[in-house]
Amino acid sequence: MNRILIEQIFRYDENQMFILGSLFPDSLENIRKSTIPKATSVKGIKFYQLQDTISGYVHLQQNWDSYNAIPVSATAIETALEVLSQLNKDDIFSKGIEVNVFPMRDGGIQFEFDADGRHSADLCAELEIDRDGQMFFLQFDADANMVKKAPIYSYDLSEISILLEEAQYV
Amino acid sequence: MSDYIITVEDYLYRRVPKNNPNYWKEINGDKIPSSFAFKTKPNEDGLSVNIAALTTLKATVGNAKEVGIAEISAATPIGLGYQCKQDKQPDNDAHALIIGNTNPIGQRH
Repeated sequence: MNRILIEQIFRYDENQMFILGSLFPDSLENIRKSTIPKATSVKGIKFYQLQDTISGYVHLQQNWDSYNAIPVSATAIETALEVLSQLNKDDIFSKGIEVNVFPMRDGGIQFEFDADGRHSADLCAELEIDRDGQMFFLQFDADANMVKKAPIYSYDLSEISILLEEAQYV
Repeated sequence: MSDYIITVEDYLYRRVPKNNPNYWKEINGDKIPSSFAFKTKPNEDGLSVNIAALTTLKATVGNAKEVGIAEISAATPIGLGYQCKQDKQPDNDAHALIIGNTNPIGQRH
C-alpha cells in the first residue's frame, strides 16, 4: 500500500494550533471525518487532558487523600466523561471559562468553572457528580456565598452550558 | 489536661494531595487550590484537621505519602459559624474537627 505515515503535523493558524494524527492519503477524508478529530485546537487539547484526568481516577485507591476517601465510582467517571463531551460540544472551552476536574472524597467527581473577569465576567461554579451519577450545579458569588444550586439530569446535559452562560452574564 | 480552645487566632493544618490527584488549578496563570479537599463526606461529623499550635508540619504529614499541608486560619470556619473543637486521638492530641458539613468552607480557604 502506498502509505505515507506522518506521525504528527503541527500547524499554527490564527491563534490555533492544529494537531493532525497519523495520516493515510488514500483514506484521509474518512479518517478526518470519523476516526480522529478533524483538527484539534488548543481547546481540544484541554478536552483530551481532562478526559485523561477523569479516566485516571479509576486508579485512586481507598484512602487516596489520607483521610479515608473512597475510590471514585465507575458511574461517576462515566457521567463525567459524558459531561465533558457535552461541554466540548457546546464549545465551553472557547468561551473564556477555565474548566478543571477533581475527584471527590465520597467517590464522586467535581468540575470547577472559573473566569476571573479579564476575558469574560467573573464566574465561580462547580458541578458535583456523586458516586451514583447524580449531579448538582453550584454557583458562588464573589464572596464565595452559594447563590444557586440546581439539579442536572443526564438526559439534559446541555443545561450545564446554559447555566454557565447565564452565570457569566449576571 | 483540659481541652485546647480553638480561637480565631489559631491556624489549622490539613493534608492535601500533592500530585495524584492534582490539588491545584491554574486560572490565568495563578495557582488556586481546589475546594475538594475541604468537603466532608456525607457520613462524617466534620472535617479532620490538626491544630497548628499543638503539632508540626512533619507530624501532620506523618506516614502519609505524596501529600502537602494546607494551612487554614481558624477565623474562616469560625466566621462562617462553624464550631472548631479539639478531638484528641490516641496518637494525636492535636487532632480537631470543624464540625458539620464543611462544603462552604471549600470556597473560602
